[in-house]
Amino acid sequence: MEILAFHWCQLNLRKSLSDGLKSLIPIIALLVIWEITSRTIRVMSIFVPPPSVDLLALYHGIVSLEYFVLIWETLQRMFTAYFLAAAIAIPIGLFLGWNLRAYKVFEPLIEALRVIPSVAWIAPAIIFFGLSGTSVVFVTFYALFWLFLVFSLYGVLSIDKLALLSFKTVRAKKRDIFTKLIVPGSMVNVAAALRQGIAVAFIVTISGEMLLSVDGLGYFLLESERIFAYSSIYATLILLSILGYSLTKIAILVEERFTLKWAIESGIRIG
Amino acid sequence: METAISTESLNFFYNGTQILKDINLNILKGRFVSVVGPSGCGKSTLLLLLARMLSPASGSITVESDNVGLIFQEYNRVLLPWRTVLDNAALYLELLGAGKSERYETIKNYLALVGLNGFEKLYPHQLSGGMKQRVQIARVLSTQPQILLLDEPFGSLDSQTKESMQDELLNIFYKEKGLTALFVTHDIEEATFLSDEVVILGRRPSVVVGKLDVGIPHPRDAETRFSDRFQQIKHEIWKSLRSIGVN
Repeated sequence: MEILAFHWCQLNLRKSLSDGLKSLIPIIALLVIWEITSRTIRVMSIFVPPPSVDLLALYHGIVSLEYFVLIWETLQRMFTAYFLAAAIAIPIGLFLGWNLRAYKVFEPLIEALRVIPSVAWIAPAIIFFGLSGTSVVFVTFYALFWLFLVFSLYGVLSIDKLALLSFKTVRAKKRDIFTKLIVPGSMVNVAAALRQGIAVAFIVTISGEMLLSVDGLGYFLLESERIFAYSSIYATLILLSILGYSLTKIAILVEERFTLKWAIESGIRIG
Repeated sequence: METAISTESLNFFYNGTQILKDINLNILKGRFVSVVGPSGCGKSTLLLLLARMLSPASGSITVESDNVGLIFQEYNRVLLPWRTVLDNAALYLELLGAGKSERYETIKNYLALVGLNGFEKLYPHQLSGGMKQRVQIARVLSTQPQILLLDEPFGSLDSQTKESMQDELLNIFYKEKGLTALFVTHDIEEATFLSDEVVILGRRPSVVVGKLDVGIPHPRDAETRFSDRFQQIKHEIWKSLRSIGVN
C-alpha cells in the first residue's frame, strides 16, 4: 500500500512537472518566431528588435537598478491611489447600500460621475496638480473610487431580505445589523472589487504616467520611443507582463485570504 | 384554559389585493395548532402578522407573550454562510446581548437537543438540509420563546428526513413546557401528525373554512400514522380542502 502511494505520488509529481513544462512551449515558440522574423526581415530588426536584444536591455536595466526605481515609482502611485480609494469608497458604498433613502438622493450624481472615463480626467488633473505623480494618483484614484463604491453598494443590496427579517424578529440593534450582517454579507463583493481594482490600478497608472509624469514605467515607455530606444520599449513590455502577472496572482491570494473559506467552498465568489 | 393567541376580524392587504379576510383565531396555551391551506393562500403572512413583522389593515391581534420565536422554511436564507454552526445557532442570544461564554454555554444544550453535538465547527454549506434546519431551530429555541411560529419548516426536506424531524419536533415540544405552537404547512399528513387542532384556510382572500380537533393522544410515534383515527382526520382535512377547490 505504502509503496503504491509513493509510486502514485512520484507519478503525480512527474505529471505536474511535465504539464508545467508543456505550458512553457507556447511562450518559447512565440519568442523563437519573433527572434527569427526579426532577424530575417530588416525593417523589423529596427522597429521590433529580436527578443534576445530586448532581454539583454531588460537585464542591463535590472542590474543598473534603473528598472527598480521605475517600478518603485509606479507601484507607489498605484497603491497610494488603491488604498486611499478603498478607505474612502468602501465605507461610503456600505452606508449607501444600507441607507437606501440616501442612495436615492445620490444615485444620479454617482451615475453621472462614474461614467466619465477616468483617463478623461487627465486634462483637469494637469490644471489641478500639474505634470506630476499626484496627477497620476488622482486619475487612478478616480477609476478605483467608483469601482469600490458600486461593488460594496451592490454587496449590501445582495444581502438576503429574509436574513434581515430574522435579525428583526429578535429586535436586533441597528449597530448589530450593520456589523453582523451588512458588513460580512457584502465581503464577497468587496473582495472581488479589491481583486479587480489591482488590474484597473495597473492599467490607469501606466496610462497616466505616459501623459502626466516624468518618471515611472509609463513615462519610461514613451520616453524610450522618443529617443528611438526601441529595445527598451520591448524590454519594458516584457517587464510589464511579468509585473502584471505577479500582481494578479497576489490579488487572487489576498482575495482568498479575505473572503475566507466559506465563500470559496460554497462557490459564491464573484468573477 | 388560557388563550395564547387570538385574532379578531383580521384583514390584510398587499398592493391593494386582499390576502387575509376576517380571520378569527383562538389558540389555547400549550396547544400545537396547524394552519393548512393551498400554496400562496397567505399562511406565511398570517405568521408575520402574529410576529408583528407586519401590521394588519384592520382587526386585532392579541399575543399573550412578547417572546415569540419565528422559524422560516428557507434555512439557507437565514443561516449566515460565514458563521459556524455554533455561531449561527448562538446568533439570537448574541443579538439579545448575551456574552460569549454565556451564550456558548446555553447554546450547547440546544444543539444537543436538536442532535447537533459535534457539528459546532462546521459551516452551513457542509451540512444537509435537515441539519441546517436544526441549526435554525436551536437558534430560535435558545431565546426560550413562549410561542413558536413555524412557517413550513420541513417544506424543502425529503420525506424521510421530514418524518424524523416531525418526531423530534414533537419530542422537543413536550419537553419544553409551556410552549404554544402555530405550524403552517400544506402537507395534510404532517398537520395531522403534529397537531392538537387544525385550522383550514381557503384561497385568496383567505378565510377560515374549517377547524378540526385531531384528538389523537400523546405520545405519538411512527405507528400513529397507521391508526384509523389518523386516516380519518386526514380524510376530513382532505375533504375540506377539496370543497374549496384544492386537490
